[in-house]
Amino acid sequence: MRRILLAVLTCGLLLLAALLSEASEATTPFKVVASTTQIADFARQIVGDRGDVRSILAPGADPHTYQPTPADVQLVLAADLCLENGMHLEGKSWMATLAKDAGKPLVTATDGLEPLRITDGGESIMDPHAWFSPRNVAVYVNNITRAMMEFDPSHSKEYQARAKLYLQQLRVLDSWVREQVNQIPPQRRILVTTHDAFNYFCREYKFNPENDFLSIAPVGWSTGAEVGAGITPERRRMVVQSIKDSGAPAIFVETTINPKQIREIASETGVKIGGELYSDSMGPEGSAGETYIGMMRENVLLIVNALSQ
Amino acid sequence: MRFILTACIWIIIVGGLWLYTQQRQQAEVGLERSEPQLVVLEQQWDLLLTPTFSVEPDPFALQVTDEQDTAFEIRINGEPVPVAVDNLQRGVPLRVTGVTGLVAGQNEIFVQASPPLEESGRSHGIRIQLSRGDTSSQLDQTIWAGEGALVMGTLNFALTAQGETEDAHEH
Repeated sequence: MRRILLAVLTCGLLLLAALLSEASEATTPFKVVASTTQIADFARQIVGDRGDVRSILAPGADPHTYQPTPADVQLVLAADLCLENGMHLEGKSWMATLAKDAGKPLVTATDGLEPLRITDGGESIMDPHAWFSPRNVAVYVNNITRAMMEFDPSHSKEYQARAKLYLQQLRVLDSWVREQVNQIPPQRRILVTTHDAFNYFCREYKFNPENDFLSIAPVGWSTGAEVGAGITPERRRMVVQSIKDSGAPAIFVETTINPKQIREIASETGVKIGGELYSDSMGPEGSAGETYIGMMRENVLLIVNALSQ
Repeated sequence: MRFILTACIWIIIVGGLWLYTQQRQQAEVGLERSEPQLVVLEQQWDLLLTPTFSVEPDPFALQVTDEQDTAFEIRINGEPVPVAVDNLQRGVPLRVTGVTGLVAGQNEIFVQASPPLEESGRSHGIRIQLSRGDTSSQLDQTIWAGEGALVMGTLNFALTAQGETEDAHEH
């Protein structure tokens, strides 16, 4: 009798295991790995619970100088799809290298975007910080949505529906930023930051008219060793002079960069530090800047508060 | 004997589960869904569209296929109405003739248009007038949008079998 019961129990357990295995296969999310926190946020808005989205960079990390670790290699090896910013944001194309070495498909989220070209030392360089214009983020979202539709066509409508919602949120964000920035008198609309990350923001919302609506910063477009990057005495002199000439009410440090340079300049020019802006990275989990919209919102509030008083 | 008994018990458990799932699937298939019978009005209608802005492609539109039009969209009862978007200019009424698809009973006109991003500090709207041939407007409503928003809305109205409006209101 005991043996019969044991046999029945064993069969039942095997059946249960088979049913559970089938159920788990149907709901296991696929893995998407993005280079930056911003791109990971965009991907999460589109993918929902269908995918597990991770970012290689932690909040506060610098994409220009980042060196991938063995843990990053493992993360990419386990991924189904990889996303990068492109336009040389990832210094020495570390994300493309990771994806290529792991044999994973890579999507460049900025494909088709009209880049801002900045000239430095005679070189024309594409500014990679395109996400600072919500209008450009719409391009990121469309590219990621297209990639998801190709990767998982059975849920295309779902991805499109989420993308539509997020695009509307970006539109509202853009309108809100314009309305907020309008509180700063045009002559006080001077944005000085640590590095040249805010060109798209300045161009979109009309900051720094005397500098062709481009950002003013002692450190170039990259904190790494690329052409036009880093700090030079000439650039530093230009920034100090710009601050003195424009009468900028405040200058700003950034979460991903050592604030030493900008604090020295603030001390030299007698202007206050307006606050710490999210630039190459969003904030940590639980912070106000942990999403892209939160990051932009907090940046704008800091800027408006510092420059409109 | 024991083996046969075990196999029988196993067959009963699995078989019972299979029968149960089959029954559920058949129950779903057996559900009858009836479609409402619509009477399509045969009259030809004209639409008159007058926006407070010149439409521009919407930079925040979903663009994942080549077919998606991003500047202006108008649908009658879910069916798109072709409109020459380039002819839609600020303050200039645009007449769209030969519009069909209206039915006796409840109808809906959906409009979505993208004002220029540089004018996001202003409210914008689009006036929609629906008329039958040379008769006066059966419907005359304006859809407004707040600053920076897409001009988007639906007009719900009822038509009789003779093509007369019963009621009109905007959502």
